[in-house]
Amino acid sequence: MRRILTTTILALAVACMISQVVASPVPYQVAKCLVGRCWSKVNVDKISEEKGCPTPMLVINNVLREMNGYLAASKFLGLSDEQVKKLRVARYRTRKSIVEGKSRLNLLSIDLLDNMAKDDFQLQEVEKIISDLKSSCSNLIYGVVIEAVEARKVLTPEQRQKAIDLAE
Amino acid sequence: MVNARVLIGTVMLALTLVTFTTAYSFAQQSSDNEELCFKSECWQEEGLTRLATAGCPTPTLFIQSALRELNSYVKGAKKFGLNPQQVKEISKIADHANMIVVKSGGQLEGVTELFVQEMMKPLPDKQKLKELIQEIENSCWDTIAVLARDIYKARTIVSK
Repeated sequence: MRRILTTTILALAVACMISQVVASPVPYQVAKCLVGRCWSKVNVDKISEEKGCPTPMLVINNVLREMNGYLAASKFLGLSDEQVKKLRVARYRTRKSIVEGKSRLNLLSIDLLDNMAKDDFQLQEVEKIISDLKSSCSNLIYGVVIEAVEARKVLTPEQRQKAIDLAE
Repeated sequence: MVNARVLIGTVMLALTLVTFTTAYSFAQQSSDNEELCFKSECWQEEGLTRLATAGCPTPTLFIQSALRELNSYVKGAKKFGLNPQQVKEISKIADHANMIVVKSGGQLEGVTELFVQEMMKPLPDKQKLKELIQEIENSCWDTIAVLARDIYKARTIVSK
């Protein structure tokens, strides 16, 4: 009796796993960020509480996940070789600008904190660094976001809809 | 025999109570001391590791240290030898700083919500994204600039 029960449960579990694989052609991790879907999971209330600002990391992570998602699901979405090539170039460009942007931001942060850690800091100098940080942050976030928008444009309207359906 | 057991039990209980009370008072004392900082002391803890993890100089790094410094002057007025006039002026600055942080936090949530909504559209409007990012960054970094000025004023007052 026990053996029959165990075999039935095992068979059911295997059937469940197979049906899931058959039903979703692309893993959930890949699909969840397509066409901006991962933005629906952002908890806006937590942003100012925990980070004080939507940090570039939030934007960078979502954009890279989205780009990786298109490439990983390229067969399912029916992307042509030309489209895949365009997306790869865009991802490469995005990665480079992220590394450059983050390095600049980190260097400016060191300058800012170093100044604040002096008993007699120069206000003008600190204000200049803050202004540089503002423009560097804006440029990094905007540049990355525009790459995501352009990546979406590489897809045809039908492919975009397919990606949305897959993510939802 | 029973009396001896009761006696040992009572002594053990008393010892536990004394140990607990002492440990608690030490913990309280050290946490109170930890909170207070003076001028540059408030900015020594921000390590590069934390910066690298954050990926960007998140305003929180700055805000936390700035508020800690201003609140320290108010809480530790006696310890730092500040006179009533200095405390009054510093309290005003600390209140201003706290209010700015709360206000900009609320403003940020609103703009970020709009940004997220735009990003969720299949083809977001680039111009709108640019404006929203600008608004977010202005709100963030203008708050930091205000706090830097508040810190500068406060240090000038405590140095008198």
